[in-house]
Amino acid sequence: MSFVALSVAGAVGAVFRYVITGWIQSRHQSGYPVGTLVVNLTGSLGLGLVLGFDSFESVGALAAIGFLGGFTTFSTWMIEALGMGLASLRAALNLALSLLGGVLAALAGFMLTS
Amino acid sequence: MSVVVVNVLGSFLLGLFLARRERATGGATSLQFWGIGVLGSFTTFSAFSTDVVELLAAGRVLACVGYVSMSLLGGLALARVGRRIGGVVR
Repeated sequence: MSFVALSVAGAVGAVFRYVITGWIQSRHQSGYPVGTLVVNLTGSLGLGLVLGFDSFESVGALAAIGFLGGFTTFSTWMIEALGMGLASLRAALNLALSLLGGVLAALAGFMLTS
Repeated sequence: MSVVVVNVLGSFLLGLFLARRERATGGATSLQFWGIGVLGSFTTFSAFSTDVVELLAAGRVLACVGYVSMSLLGGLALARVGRRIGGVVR
């Protein structure tokens, strides 16, 4: 049961990521991957919120973890940073912004519910 | 620890897949399914950032620095290697 909940939720999360990043990218011309940044920061906030609760052994909590795992992405972040040129300021900014923002968002979520 | 492995491996595979795809005539469906769906979901950013928070909260600063450097340097390096290999091997 838990396996099914995780898989289905992960797939739903991936679809949400696809739709939301596409929508955000279509609304500006900067070429900067704001979409990936937004899903990764909101997903980190969400997982922080879930993990702040004492017990997360219910199917609902598992589904939330699966959803957020599929909703956020590490590999796309790496590929986008690589595409900016490893020694470039843009890439460094993208890496720092996601890293610091993600940790702060996860911390904020955790502190709100724990 | 397993999150590092999954994220670094997934970055390598996404680099490989995207480079190969540039050379092939795959449809948009294969990009959406494999690139965005499978490899995007295989890796995870939310578990990465909550792991960092947990390590910091436990006072394991050195482990946290190691975790972040391994994920970032490993992910970037292997994504690059994947792209190189995918661009050469047909």
